[in-house]
Amino acid sequence: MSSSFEPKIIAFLCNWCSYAGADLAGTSRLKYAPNIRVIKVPCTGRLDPLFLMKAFEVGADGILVSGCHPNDCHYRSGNFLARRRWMVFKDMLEFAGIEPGRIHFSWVSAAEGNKFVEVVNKVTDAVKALGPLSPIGHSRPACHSVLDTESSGINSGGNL
Amino acid sequence: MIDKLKSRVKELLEAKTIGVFIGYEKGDNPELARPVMITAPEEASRLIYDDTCVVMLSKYLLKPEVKTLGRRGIVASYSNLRAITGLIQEHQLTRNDVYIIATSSNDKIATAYDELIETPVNGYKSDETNKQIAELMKLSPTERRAFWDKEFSKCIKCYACRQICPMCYCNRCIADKNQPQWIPTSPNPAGNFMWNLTRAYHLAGRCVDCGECERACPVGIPLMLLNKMIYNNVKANFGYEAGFDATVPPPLATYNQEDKENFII
Repeated sequence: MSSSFEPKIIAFLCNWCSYAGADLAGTSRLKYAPNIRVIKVPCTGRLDPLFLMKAFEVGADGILVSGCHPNDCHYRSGNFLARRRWMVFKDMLEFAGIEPGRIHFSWVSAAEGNKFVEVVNKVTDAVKALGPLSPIGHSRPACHSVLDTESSGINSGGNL
Repeated sequence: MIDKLKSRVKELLEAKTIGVFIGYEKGDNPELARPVMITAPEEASRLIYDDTCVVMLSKYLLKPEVKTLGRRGIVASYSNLRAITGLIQEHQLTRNDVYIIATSSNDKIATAYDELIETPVNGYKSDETNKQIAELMKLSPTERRAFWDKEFSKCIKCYACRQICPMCYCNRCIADKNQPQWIPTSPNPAGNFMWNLTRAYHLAGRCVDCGECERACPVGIPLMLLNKMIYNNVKANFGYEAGFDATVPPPLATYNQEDKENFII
Protein backbone atom coordinates (compact mmCIF):
# COMPACT_ATOMS: atom_id res chain seq x y z
CA MET A 1 0.00 0.00 0.00
CA SER A 2 1.33 3.42 -0.83
CA SER A 3 2.22 5.47 2.22
CA SER A 4 0.00 8.30 1.06
CA PHE A 5 -3.13 6.34 1.92
CA GLU A 6 -5.21 8.23 4.45
CA PRO A 7 -7.94 5.97 5.84
CA LYS A 8 -11.41 7.20 6.64
CA ILE A 9 -12.31 6.10 10.12
CA ILE A 10 -15.70 6.58 11.71
CA ALA A 11 -15.54 7.02 15.47
CA PHE A 12 -18.71 6.35 17.43
CA LEU A 13 -18.25 8.07 20.78
CA CYS A 14 -20.60 7.96 23.71
CA ASN A 15 -21.96 11.28 24.86
CA TRP A 16 -20.92 10.98 28.50
CA CYS A 17 -17.34 9.75 28.52
CA SER A 18 -15.50 9.34 25.24
CA TYR A 19 -16.96 12.38 23.53
CA ALA A 20 -15.96 14.44 26.55
CA GLY A 21 -12.56 12.73 26.43
CA ALA A 22 -12.18 13.81 22.80
CA ASP A 23 -13.25 17.28 23.81
CA LEU A 24 -10.61 17.35 26.52
CA ALA A 25 -7.98 16.30 23.98
CA GLY A 26 -9.08 19.22 21.85
CA THR A 27 -9.18 21.84 24.58
CA SER A 28 -5.80 20.60 25.81
CA ARG A 29 -4.47 21.31 22.29
CA LEU A 30 -3.35 17.71 21.88
CA LYS A 31 -2.62 16.55 18.36
CA TYR A 32 -3.88 13.29 16.91
CA ALA A 33 -4.31 11.70 13.52
CA PRO A 34 -6.91 13.60 11.49
CA ASN A 35 -8.47 10.46 10.02
CA ILE A 36 -11.42 10.07 12.34
CA ARG A 37 -14.91 11.42 11.80
CA VAL A 38 -16.77 11.52 15.06
CA ILE A 39 -20.39 10.51 15.45
CA LYS A 40 -21.79 11.15 18.90
CA VAL A 41 -24.18 8.55 20.28
CA PRO A 42 -26.06 8.75 23.59
CA CYS A 43 -24.45 5.56 24.86
CA THR A 44 -22.55 2.64 23.39
CA GLY A 45 -25.63 0.62 24.28
CA ARG A 46 -27.53 2.70 21.72
CA LEU A 47 -25.23 1.50 19.00
CA ASP A 48 -26.99 -1.00 16.80
CA PRO A 49 -24.30 -3.12 15.11
CA LEU A 50 -26.18 -2.18 11.96
CA PHE A 51 -24.62 1.31 12.29
CA LEU A 52 -21.17 -0.22 12.18
CA MET A 53 -22.01 -2.34 9.17
CA LYS A 54 -23.52 0.69 7.45
CA ALA A 55 -20.31 2.66 8.02
CA PHE A 56 -18.35 -0.04 6.21
CA GLU A 57 -20.97 -0.22 3.50
CA VAL A 58 -20.76 3.47 2.65
CA GLY A 59 -17.01 3.37 2.46
CA ALA A 60 -15.34 3.69 5.85
CA ASP A 61 -11.98 1.92 6.03
CA GLY A 62 -12.10 1.51 9.76
CA ILE A 63 -14.28 2.03 12.80
CA LEU A 64 -13.58 3.07 16.36
CA VAL A 65 -16.21 2.60 19.02
CA SER A 66 -15.56 4.15 22.39
CA GLY A 67 -17.57 4.41 25.58
CA CYS A 68 -17.41 4.70 29.33
CA HIS A 69 -15.30 2.35 31.39
CA PRO A 70 -17.19 -0.56 32.99
CA ASN A 71 -19.29 0.63 35.94
CA ASP A 72 -19.07 4.23 34.71
CA CYS A 73 -21.98 4.07 32.27
CA HIS A 74 -24.38 6.97 32.65
CA TYR A 75 -27.21 4.49 32.18
CA ARG A 76 -25.53 1.89 34.42
CA SER A 77 -25.46 -1.05 32.01
CA GLY A 78 -25.29 0.26 28.44
CA ASN A 79 -21.62 -0.49 28.00
CA PHE A 80 -21.95 -3.97 29.50
CA LEU A 81 -24.70 -4.86 27.06
CA ALA A 82 -22.72 -3.32 24.21
CA ARG A 83 -19.63 -5.31 25.15
CA ARG A 84 -21.50 -8.58 24.64
CA ARG A 85 -22.77 -7.48 21.25
CA TRP A 86 -19.29 -6.49 20.15
CA MET A 87 -17.85 -9.84 21.18
CA VAL A 88 -20.13 -11.61 18.75
CA PHE A 89 -20.21 -8.89 16.11
CA LYS A 90 -16.45 -8.48 15.64
CA ASP A 91 -16.02 -12.23 15.23
CA MET A 92 -18.85 -12.33 12.72
CA LEU A 93 -17.20 -9.56 10.68
CA GLU A 94 -13.92 -11.43 10.78
CA PHE A 95 -15.67 -14.54 9.54
CA ALA A 96 -17.28 -12.51 6.77
CA GLY A 97 -13.81 -11.40 5.69
CA ILE A 98 -13.41 -7.94 7.19
CA GLU A 99 -10.02 -7.80 8.91
CA PRO A 100 -10.22 -7.54 12.71
CA GLY A 101 -7.83 -4.57 12.53
CA ARG A 102 -10.55 -2.46 10.96
CA ILE A 103 -12.82 -2.34 13.96
CA HIS A 104 -11.66 -1.24 17.39
CA PHE A 105 -13.35 -0.83 20.72
CA SER A 106 -12.12 1.21 23.64
CA TRP A 107 -13.06 2.67 26.99
CA VAL A 108 -12.12 6.34 27.27
CA SER A 109 -13.33 8.44 30.19
CA ALA A 110 -13.98 12.18 30.18
CA ALA A 111 -10.66 12.69 31.98
CA GLU A 112 -8.60 10.67 29.51
CA GLY A 113 -7.76 13.13 26.76
CA ASN A 114 -4.32 11.60 26.49
CA LYS A 115 -5.70 8.12 26.18
CA PHE A 116 -8.06 9.30 23.45
CA VAL A 117 -5.09 10.58 21.46
CA GLU A 118 -3.27 7.27 21.92
CA VAL A 119 -6.31 5.27 20.88
CA VAL A 120 -6.94 7.33 17.75
CA ASN A 121 -3.30 7.14 16.68
CA LYS A 122 -3.19 3.41 17.31
CA VAL A 123 -6.38 2.76 15.37
CA THR A 124 -5.26 4.97 12.50
CA ASP A 125 -1.94 3.14 12.26
CA ALA A 126 -3.70 -0.24 12.28
CA VAL A 127 -6.12 0.74 9.53
CA LYS A 128 -3.38 2.43 7.51
CA ALA A 129 -1.39 -0.79 7.59
CA LEU A 130 -4.36 -2.70 6.19
CA GLY A 131 -4.94 -0.35 3.30
CA PRO A 132 -8.34 0.65 1.91
CA LEU A 133 -11.28 -1.66 2.53
CA SER A 134 -12.32 -3.36 -0.65
CA PRO A 135 -15.77 -1.78 -1.07
CA ILE A 136 -18.62 -3.81 0.43
CA GLY A 137 -20.72 -3.07 -2.59
CA HIS A 138 -17.86 -3.57 -5.00
CA SER A 139 -19.95 -2.54 -7.95
CA ARG A 140 -21.30 0.57 -6.30
CA PRO A 141 -18.94 3.35 -7.28
CA ALA A 142 -21.68 5.93 -6.93
CA CYS A 143 -22.11 5.27 -3.25
CA HIS A 144 -18.45 4.88 -2.52
CA SER A 145 -17.69 8.20 -4.10
CA VAL A 146 -19.82 9.94 -1.50
CA LEU A 147 -16.84 9.54 0.81
CA ASP A 148 -14.26 10.19 -1.88
CA THR A 149 -15.58 13.48 -3.18
CA GLU A 150 -14.30 16.30 -1.06
CA SER A 151 -17.17 18.60 -1.96
CA SER A 152 -20.04 16.35 -0.98
CA GLY A 153 -18.43 13.79 1.28
CA ILE A 154 -18.32 13.54 5.02
CA ASN A 155 -15.09 15.52 4.87
CA SER A 156 -17.26 18.58 4.52
CA GLY A 157 -20.08 17.31 6.65
CA GLY A 158 -22.29 16.24 3.75
CA ASN A 159 -25.08 13.76 4.01
CA LEU A 160 -23.99 10.19 4.52
CA MET B 1 -46.93 -43.99 14.87
CA ILE B 2 -48.99 -42.16 12.29
CA ASP B 3 -52.17 -44.01 13.28
CA LYS B 4 -51.62 -43.05 16.87
CA LEU B 5 -51.07 -39.42 15.86
CA LYS B 6 -54.21 -39.37 13.73
CA SER B 7 -56.38 -40.85 16.45
CA ARG B 8 -54.96 -38.54 19.14
CA VAL B 9 -55.51 -35.45 16.97
CA LYS B 10 -59.07 -36.59 16.29
CA GLU B 11 -59.71 -37.05 20.01
CA LEU B 12 -58.15 -33.71 20.92
CA LEU B 13 -60.23 -31.85 18.35
CA GLU B 14 -63.42 -33.67 19.35
CA ALA B 15 -62.81 -32.91 23.01
CA LYS B 16 -62.10 -29.28 22.02
CA THR B 17 -58.80 -29.43 23.92
CA ILE B 18 -57.39 -27.71 20.86
CA GLY B 19 -59.02 -25.62 18.14
CA VAL B 20 -56.51 -26.38 15.44
CA PHE B 21 -53.79 -28.92 14.89
CA ILE B 22 -50.66 -28.00 12.95
CA GLY B 23 -49.15 -30.98 11.18
CA TYR B 24 -48.08 -32.22 7.78
CA GLU B 25 -49.94 -33.66 4.83
CA LYS B 26 -48.78 -35.03 1.53
CA GLY B 27 -48.02 -32.18 -0.85
CA ASP B 28 -47.29 -31.83 -4.54
CA ASN B 29 -43.60 -32.27 -3.93
CA PRO B 30 -42.89 -35.92 -3.06
CA GLU B 31 -39.76 -34.86 -1.18
CA LEU B 32 -41.37 -32.23 0.97
CA ALA B 33 -44.50 -32.59 3.08
CA ARG B 34 -46.89 -29.64 3.17
CA PRO B 35 -47.85 -28.03 6.48
CA VAL B 36 -51.57 -28.34 7.18
CA MET B 37 -53.94 -26.83 9.74
CA ILE B 38 -56.53 -29.38 10.81
CA THR B 39 -59.68 -27.96 12.43
CA ALA B 40 -62.27 -30.70 11.85
CA PRO B 41 -61.80 -34.05 13.66
CA GLU B 42 -62.54 -36.10 10.53
CA GLU B 43 -59.77 -34.29 8.67
CA ALA B 44 -57.13 -35.78 10.99
CA SER B 45 -56.75 -38.67 8.54
CA ARG B 46 -54.87 -36.33 6.19
CA LEU B 47 -51.89 -36.20 8.52
CA ILE B 48 -48.59 -37.82 7.67
CA TYR B 49 -45.27 -37.94 9.48
CA ASP B 50 -42.05 -39.10 7.84
CA ASP B 51 -38.65 -37.92 6.62
CA THR B 52 -40.25 -35.39 4.28
CA CYS B 53 -41.68 -33.47 7.25
CA VAL B 54 -38.95 -30.88 7.68
CA VAL B 55 -40.66 -27.49 7.37
CA MET B 56 -40.65 -25.81 10.80
CA LEU B 57 -44.24 -25.79 12.03
CA SER B 58 -43.58 -23.56 15.03
CA LYS B 59 -43.64 -20.60 12.65
CA TYR B 60 -47.39 -21.06 12.22
CA LEU B 61 -48.05 -20.79 15.96
CA LEU B 62 -47.67 -17.00 15.75
CA LYS B 63 -49.72 -16.37 12.62
CA PRO B 64 -52.76 -14.19 13.50
CA GLU B 65 -55.07 -16.30 11.34
CA VAL B 66 -54.00 -19.45 13.18
CA LYS B 67 -54.20 -17.80 16.60
CA THR B 68 -57.90 -17.03 16.08
CA LEU B 69 -58.65 -20.74 15.74
CA GLY B 70 -58.10 -21.31 19.45
CA ARG B 71 -55.54 -23.34 21.32
CA ARG B 72 -53.02 -24.71 18.90
CA GLY B 73 -51.90 -28.32 18.79
CA ILE B 74 -48.65 -29.12 17.07
CA VAL B 75 -46.52 -32.09 16.19
CA ALA B 76 -43.05 -31.07 17.26
CA SER B 77 -39.74 -32.50 16.17
CA TYR B 78 -36.57 -31.81 18.14
CA SER B 79 -35.93 -28.53 16.25
CA ASN B 80 -39.55 -27.45 16.63
CA LEU B 81 -39.40 -28.08 20.36
CA ARG B 82 -36.35 -25.86 20.59
CA ALA B 83 -38.00 -23.15 18.53
CA ILE B 84 -41.13 -23.27 20.69
CA THR B 85 -38.91 -22.96 23.77
CA GLY B 86 -37.28 -19.91 22.20
CA LEU B 87 -40.65 -18.33 21.41
CA ILE B 88 -41.84 -18.87 24.99
CA GLN B 89 -38.58 -17.40 26.27
CA GLU B 90 -39.13 -14.29 24.14
CA HIS B 91 -42.74 -13.98 25.32
CA GLN B 92 -44.27 -14.64 21.92
CA LEU B 93 -46.17 -17.58 23.29
CA THR B 94 -47.15 -19.01 26.63
CA ARG B 95 -46.79 -22.70 27.33
CA ASN B 96 -50.54 -22.99 27.71
CA ASP B 97 -51.23 -21.59 24.22
CA VAL B 98 -49.92 -24.73 22.65
CA TYR B 99 -50.54 -28.45 23.01
CA ILE B 100 -47.34 -30.21 22.05
CA ILE B 101 -47.12 -33.74 20.67
CA ALA B 102 -43.37 -34.29 20.61
CA THR B 103 -41.78 -36.81 18.28
CA SER B 104 -38.43 -36.76 19.99
CA SER B 105 -37.51 -36.52 23.65
CA ASN B 106 -34.42 -34.75 24.81
CA ASP B 107 -33.34 -34.25 28.39
CA LYS B 108 -31.74 -30.90 27.60
CA ILE B 109 -35.02 -29.26 26.58
CA ALA B 110 -36.78 -27.93 29.64
CA THR B 111 -40.06 -27.12 27.88
CA ALA B 112 -42.35 -29.98 28.77
CA TYR B 113 -44.39 -31.52 25.99
CA ASP B 114 -47.90 -32.82 26.52
CA GLU B 115 -47.41 -36.20 24.92
CA LEU B 116 -44.64 -38.09 23.26
CA ILE B 117 -45.10 -40.20 20.14
CA GLU B 118 -41.50 -41.08 19.42
CA THR B 119 -40.65 -41.04 15.71
CA PRO B 120 -37.11 -40.25 14.73
CA VAL B 121 -36.82 -38.40 11.40
CA ASN B 122 -33.72 -37.13 9.69
CA GLY B 123 -33.24 -33.53 10.75
CA TYR B 124 -30.48 -31.07 9.94
CA LYS B 125 -27.04 -32.13 11.20
CA SER B 126 -24.38 -29.48 11.68
CA ASP B 127 -21.22 -31.64 11.60
CA GLU B 128 -20.48 -30.83 7.99
CA THR B 129 -21.15 -27.12 8.60
CA ASN B 130 -18.67 -27.06 11.48
CA LYS B 131 -16.02 -28.65 9.28
CA GLN B 132 -16.54 -26.01 6.61
CA ILE B 133 -16.35 -23.20 9.18
CA ALA B 134 -12.99 -24.52 10.36
CA GLU B 135 -11.80 -24.64 6.74
CA LEU B 136 -12.94 -21.07 6.10
CA MET B 137 -11.20 -19.80 9.22
CA LYS B 138 -7.91 -21.11 7.85
CA LEU B 139 -8.18 -18.71 4.91
CA SER B 140 -7.03 -15.09 4.97
CA PRO B 141 -9.70 -12.40 5.49
CA THR B 142 -9.34 -11.38 1.84
CA GLU B 143 -10.02 -14.92 0.70
CA ARG B 144 -13.01 -15.17 3.02
CA ARG B 145 -14.37 -11.89 1.65
CA ALA B 146 -14.01 -13.31 -1.84
CA PHE B 147 -15.85 -16.45 -0.74
CA TRP B 148 -18.75 -14.52 0.76
CA ASP B 149 -18.90 -11.97 -2.05
CA LYS B 150 -19.30 -14.87 -4.44
CA GLU B 151 -21.93 -16.58 -2.31
CA PHE B 152 -23.89 -13.40 -1.60
CA SER B 153 -23.80 -12.44 -5.27
CA LYS B 154 -26.29 -15.26 -5.82
CA CYS B 155 -28.80 -13.69 -3.43
CA ILE B 156 -32.00 -12.51 -5.11
CA LYS B 157 -33.40 -10.88 -1.95
CA CYS B 158 -36.42 -13.16 -1.87
CA TYR B 159 -36.23 -13.25 1.95
CA ALA B 160 -37.08 -16.96 1.99
CA CYS B 161 -34.50 -17.34 4.78
CA ARG B 162 -36.45 -14.88 6.89
CA GLN B 163 -39.88 -16.27 6.05
CA ILE B 164 -38.92 -19.83 6.96
CA CYS B 165 -36.97 -19.00 10.11
CA PRO B 166 -38.89 -19.99 13.25
CA MET B 167 -37.22 -17.20 15.22
CA CYS B 168 -37.83 -14.38 12.70
CA TYR B 169 -41.19 -13.06 13.77
CA CYS B 170 -41.03 -9.23 13.74
CA ASN B 171 -44.20 -7.71 12.33
CA ARG B 172 -42.05 -5.23 10.49
CA CYS B 173 -38.62 -6.42 9.55
CA ILE B 174 -35.76 -3.91 9.51
CA ALA B 175 -35.26 -4.89 5.87
CA ASP B 176 -38.76 -3.60 5.06
CA LYS B 177 -38.30 -0.24 6.74
CA ASN B 178 -37.27 2.59 4.49
CA GLN B 179 -37.09 5.64 6.72
CA PRO B 180 -34.19 5.35 7.11
CA GLN B 181 -33.30 2.59 4.73
CA TRP B 182 -30.59 0.71 6.59
CA ILE B 183 -30.50 -2.23 4.26
CA PRO B 184 -30.47 -1.56 0.52
CA THR B 185 -33.39 -3.44 -0.99
CA SER B 186 -31.77 -4.14 -4.34
CA PRO B 187 -30.05 -7.48 -4.84
CA ASN B 188 -26.74 -5.70 -5.38
CA PRO B 189 -23.48 -6.54 -3.56
CA ALA B 190 -24.01 -3.94 -0.84
CA GLY B 191 -27.61 -4.89 -0.23
CA ASN B 192 -26.83 -8.59 -0.17
CA PHE B 193 -23.92 -8.19 2.22
CA MET B 194 -25.95 -6.01 4.58
CA TRP B 195 -29.00 -8.23 4.47
CA ASN B 196 -27.31 -11.56 4.98
CA LEU B 197 -25.10 -10.36 7.81
CA THR B 198 -27.92 -8.50 9.53
CA ARG B 199 -30.16 -11.54 9.34
CA ALA B 200 -27.44 -13.74 10.80
CA TYR B 201 -26.61 -11.24 13.53
CA HIS B 202 -30.24 -10.85 14.56
CA LEU B 203 -30.21 -14.57 15.28
CA ALA B 204 -27.16 -14.37 17.52
CA GLY B 205 -27.96 -16.37 20.64
CA ARG B 206 -31.40 -17.15 19.20
CA CYS B 207 -30.77 -19.53 16.29
CA VAL B 208 -32.00 -23.00 17.21
CA ASP B 209 -29.84 -24.69 14.60
CA CYS B 210 -32.70 -26.15 12.54
CA GLY B 211 -31.01 -25.51 9.18
CA GLU B 212 -34.22 -24.36 7.52
CA CYS B 213 -32.84 -21.08 6.09
CA GLU B 214 -30.18 -22.93 4.18
CA ARG B 215 -32.68 -25.50 2.90
CA ALA B 216 -35.18 -22.84 1.87
CA CYS B 217 -32.63 -20.67 0.06
CA PRO B 218 -33.48 -21.06 -3.65
CA VAL B 219 -29.97 -20.15 -4.78
CA GLY B 220 -28.09 -22.29 -2.27
CA ILE B 221 -26.19 -19.77 -0.14
CA PRO B 222 -24.61 -21.69 2.77
CA LEU B 223 -26.39 -19.57 5.38
CA MET B 224 -25.85 -22.06 8.15
CA LEU B 225 -22.11 -21.35 8.00
CA LEU B 226 -22.85 -17.87 9.33
CA ASN B 227 -25.51 -18.97 11.75
CA LYS B 228 -23.47 -21.82 13.11
CA MET B 229 -20.33 -19.69 13.43
CA ILE B 230 -22.30 -17.25 15.60
CA TYR B 231 -23.96 -20.13 17.44
CA ASN B 232 -20.55 -21.59 18.32
CA ASN B 233 -19.27 -18.15 19.26
CA VAL B 234 -22.15 -17.51 21.67
CA LYS B 235 -21.67 -20.97 23.13
CA ALA B 236 -17.95 -20.34 23.68
CA ASN B 237 -18.37 -16.80 25.04
CA PHE B 238 -21.46 -17.18 27.17
CA GLY B 239 -21.94 -20.93 27.54
CA TYR B 240 -25.37 -20.58 26.00
CA GLU B 241 -27.32 -22.52 23.42
CA ALA B 242 -30.74 -21.30 22.34
CA GLY B 243 -33.92 -23.29 22.61
CA PHE B 244 -33.26 -25.36 25.69
CA ASP B 245 -34.49 -23.24 28.58
CA ALA B 246 -37.27 -20.67 28.41
CA THR B 247 -36.61 -19.33 31.90
CA VAL B 248 -33.17 -17.78 31.38
CA PRO B 249 -32.64 -14.39 29.71
CA PRO B 250 -31.30 -14.46 26.13
CA PRO B 251 -27.50 -13.99 26.21
CA LEU B 252 -27.43 -10.72 24.27
CA ALA B 253 -30.20 -9.20 26.36
CA THR B 254 -28.20 -9.54 29.54
CA TYR B 255 -24.61 -9.17 30.69
CA ASN B 256 -22.06 -10.29 33.19
CA GLN B 257 -19.66 -7.79 34.70
CA GLU B 258 -16.94 -10.39 34.28
CA ASP B 259 -17.43 -10.78 30.51
CA LYS B 260 -14.07 -10.99 28.77
CA GLU B 261 -12.82 -7.72 27.36
CA ASN B 262 -9.33 -8.53 26.14
CA PHE B 263 -10.27 -7.01 22.77
CA ILE B 264 -11.05 -3.58 24.22
CA ILE B 265 -8.31 -0.95 24.16
